[in-house]
Amino acid sequence: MTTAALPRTPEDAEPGAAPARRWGALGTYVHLQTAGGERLDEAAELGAAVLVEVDRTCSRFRPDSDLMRANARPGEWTEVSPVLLGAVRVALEAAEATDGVVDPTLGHHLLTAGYDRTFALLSESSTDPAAVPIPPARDRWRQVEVRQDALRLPIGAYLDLGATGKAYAADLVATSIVARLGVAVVVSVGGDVRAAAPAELPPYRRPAWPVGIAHTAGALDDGPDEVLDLVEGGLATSSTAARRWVRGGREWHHLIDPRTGEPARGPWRTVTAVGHTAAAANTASTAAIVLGVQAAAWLSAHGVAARLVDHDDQVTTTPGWPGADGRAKEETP
Amino acid sequence: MTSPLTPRQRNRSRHVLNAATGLLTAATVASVGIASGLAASATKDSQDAKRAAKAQAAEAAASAAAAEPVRAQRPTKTIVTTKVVAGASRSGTASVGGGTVRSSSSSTSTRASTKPAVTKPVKVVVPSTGS
Repeated sequence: MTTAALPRTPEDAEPGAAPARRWGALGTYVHLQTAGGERLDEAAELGAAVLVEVDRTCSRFRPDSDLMRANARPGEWTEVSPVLLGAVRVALEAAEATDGVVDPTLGHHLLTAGYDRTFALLSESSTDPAAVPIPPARDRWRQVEVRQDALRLPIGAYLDLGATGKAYAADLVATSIVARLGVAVVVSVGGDVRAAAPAELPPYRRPAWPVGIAHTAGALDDGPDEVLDLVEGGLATSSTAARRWVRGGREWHHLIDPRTGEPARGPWRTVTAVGHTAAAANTASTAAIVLGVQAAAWLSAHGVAARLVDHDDQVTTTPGWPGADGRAKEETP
Repeated sequence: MTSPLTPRQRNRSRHVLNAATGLLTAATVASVGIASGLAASATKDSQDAKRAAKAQAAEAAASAAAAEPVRAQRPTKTIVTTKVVAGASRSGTASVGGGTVRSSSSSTSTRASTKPAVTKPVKVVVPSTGS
């Protein structure tokens, strides 16, 4: 559910830029490049097929998905696809890594806030009432059980993999392409970016992928705020500037604070973070939005290179971010 | 040749005829009522039976659902292998930190560019994904 970091499209790039493939999946855009354009058509075909499988198993907006079958049977074991089990394992690990700040069991809160269909179909301004959110049961995610072929949710839990789902999908696409086709690849699924290369490729031969960063995918059309080279791992941007809507006279967005049950109201509008995978990067960027004023210290303590932009466009970076001088610092745009 | 009826005889005949017609009408109404009642009773019985059958089916489905996991229709061809899924979701996948970025080589990078070597911009092609 996050947006905005993506490899520059060929139109944005200078002559000589890499060929790319771009299409829509999981309610967002997908951008894919391979090193030197090698086996690009095959990579795009494989990536599209992987995302179809992710959608079929992990979507909250398909009543026949494995996720929704499990959601319909709390307290019971439901046989599900390994693809969903992988997504749930990643989501639970994100919850563990953030002490529950990134909580995958808040689906009910998104439903009551009106986010009950894919964002493209959601009315941006509805007069329908929204239920008053209540703080969710803390640590309910710890009661989600996963076994080799099945999933059991605790009573009252409703899984939504929106926070880490697209990042996991980007990781899955990238690792599938490397495993099947043996080429270095970068893929962005709605701004959750993953670069991967065959293990046998020496570091000096691995591509550095230029990635543009902006508040929303649309804002990239006006030029990215910053461009980085992603050498290895993942890069993700979480933003409250995207996926916003009005319901019951209140403005909502998709990043729920599990401590209040309401959309996060902290000082950060957009956070971009680096990780060893797209899922790791997204976990950090989502946690930062929710943590609010504690975010920069938390990111620094966990060794996460990140760029935080507040509602007044003030930029703060943490150590490890290109240009940062070893401590969290503020920049004036 | 019959002699014409006197007014009293005519009245008596009319009363008899009216009485007979009334009886016939009452009998018809009664029989229709009985038939309708029978039909309604049969319909109610049928509805009750259907309701009972539905309840039984729902109960059976519920107990079956409680007994074992719901089996899903799987695609005949799995695109993502279990091995790849295991690799993408292995322990540590979402633990924060790691990754390598640097300033873009187009501006301040000091490392020799390893950007993919290509010759010219290409038109973006949109594959069909079904979503």
